Amino acid sequence: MGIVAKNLHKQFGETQVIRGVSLSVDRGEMVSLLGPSGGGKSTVLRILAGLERADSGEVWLDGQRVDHLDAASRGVGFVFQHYALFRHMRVVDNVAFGLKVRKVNPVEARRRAEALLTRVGLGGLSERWPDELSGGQRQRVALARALAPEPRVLLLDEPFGALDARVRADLREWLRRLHDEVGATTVLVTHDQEEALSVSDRVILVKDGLIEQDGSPSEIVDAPRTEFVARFVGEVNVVEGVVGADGLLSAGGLSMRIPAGSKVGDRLRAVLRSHELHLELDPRGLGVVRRVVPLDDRARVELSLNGASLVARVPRAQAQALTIGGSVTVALHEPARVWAIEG
Amino acid sequence: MRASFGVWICALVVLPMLAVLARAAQGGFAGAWEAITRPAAVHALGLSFGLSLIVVGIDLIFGLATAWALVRWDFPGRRLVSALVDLPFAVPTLVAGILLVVMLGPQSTLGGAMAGLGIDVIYAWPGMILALCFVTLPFVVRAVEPVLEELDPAEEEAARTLGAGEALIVRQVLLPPLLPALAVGAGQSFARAIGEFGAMAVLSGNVPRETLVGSVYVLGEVEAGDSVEAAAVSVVLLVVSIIAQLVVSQVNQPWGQE
Repeated sequence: MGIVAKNLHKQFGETQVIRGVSLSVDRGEMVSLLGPSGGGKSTVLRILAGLERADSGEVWLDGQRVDHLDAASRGVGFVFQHYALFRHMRVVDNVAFGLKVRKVNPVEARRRAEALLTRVGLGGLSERWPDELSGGQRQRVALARALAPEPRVLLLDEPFGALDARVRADLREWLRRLHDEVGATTVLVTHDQEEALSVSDRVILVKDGLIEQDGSPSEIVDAPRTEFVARFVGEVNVVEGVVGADGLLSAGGLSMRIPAGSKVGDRLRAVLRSHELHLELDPRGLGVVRRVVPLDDRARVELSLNGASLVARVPRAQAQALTIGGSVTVALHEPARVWAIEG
Repeated sequence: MRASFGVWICALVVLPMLAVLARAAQGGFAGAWEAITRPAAVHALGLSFGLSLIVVGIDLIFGLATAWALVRWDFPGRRLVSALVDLPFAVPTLVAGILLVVMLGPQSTLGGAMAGLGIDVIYAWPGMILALCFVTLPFVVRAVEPVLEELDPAEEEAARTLGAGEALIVRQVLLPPLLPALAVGAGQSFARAIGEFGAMAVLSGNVPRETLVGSVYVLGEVEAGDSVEAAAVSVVLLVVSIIAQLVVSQVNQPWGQE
């Protein structure tokens, strides 16, 4: 097992930031900690690295208990959101830093740093100063620097958070390819669900200092365990309604099939993902189109239905037939994902 | 803009310097040389430079520590401390000197106790160093503070995760980016310490060839009606000051041409 954390707790002042987090990451696996900011995911990562100390709980790296070790002795590679490159060192010296600290001789350290820079696609930039590089390049240098001492685990704290959307998308694909080549056990912290779902083998959703769900990207997307997860990983509509005598849930003018286990009269909250709503042009339909936003091959349609606002994703071809203010019928073919209303 | 800058530089910097040089030259090179090599003058100048060097060393350590505390720590009264750092800029240094005399002079409890241990503070080097530190510390603090603010603590954390111990982090991660600012602060402190007059006049005792410093020596020469000799010694103070500024301005940073 690459990383094991057992029942971590951490308090800052009066605030309980981590309230019993346990997780494990296989050797060579790439796992994302996903969640809203302030949810404690970065703190978990920093506890794994030894940059913060947990109030209680255990951290194991490669079968060794490391709670008592400081960050310098844990053998982790850490990448920060704002790169944290040493500005007074040239790129190659940044990458070689961890090797020189470990007394690798300077010539060898430099050779290995150059090789890593080539590997991350920055072969020609070794003699530059960090300030002369773009954000994306800087983060690659930071990654090369973290990988240089061949760490047991690689921890990335919102590594693409400070970059443009375009660069982010490129870099995360690149990161996944690099991970497949290098094979380092990796934990990535992000608040971007697309990022988490697209690069990781497994996604752990963290909210309010607790793990909300831990599963593969498809489990998270297809079988969200809580309303929070469903809302966080997709574009959804949440409607409330009552199970009728016909066994269907009526909510917001929609009738929908629900999974077994609900009784007639139950008040439920249903989460409908935007791509599960089907729209049909119908002059007598109850839905009214408010706005159509084109997105590559699909379009996002905002509509109102019996006073409620809904979002649907439909193929572009279909969206082109829609007019603002036009009427549509809204239908749902799949069984809805429902949760009992809390309280 | 350019013209007013030129006028300003001439009126406040160039002309006075030329005037002093011209005055010093009135006695001819031999006269000026004689004035600055007189034993009392040599001692006063040497004392000024020596004390200033010691003071710069102390300033660097305590100025860096103060700036660090102000930037990195959040403690009650931080704003007050920050305001107090600038106090020497606001208080006439003569007053600072008097404060120290009152606090540490032979008649005071503290000063008396120190004297009992055989340590003279006032009218001796320790008091002079203390006063000069008081006057010059803000230069180092204010030079270092902005650079320290820009240093991302994540850089230290990165170094830590790469296996670096604290001493190595200080040496290789923290100090290099601070060096240019430390040099500027040191240069300004040094020049200020050389030129300090008010505090020295009241607490050094002004004993020639013992505690009389360069700036007070110059006043003595002026009062004795010897303006050529005063000017000659002033030129030495001036030149050393300028050299110090030039030296520290050589400590530059090659990185960060953004």
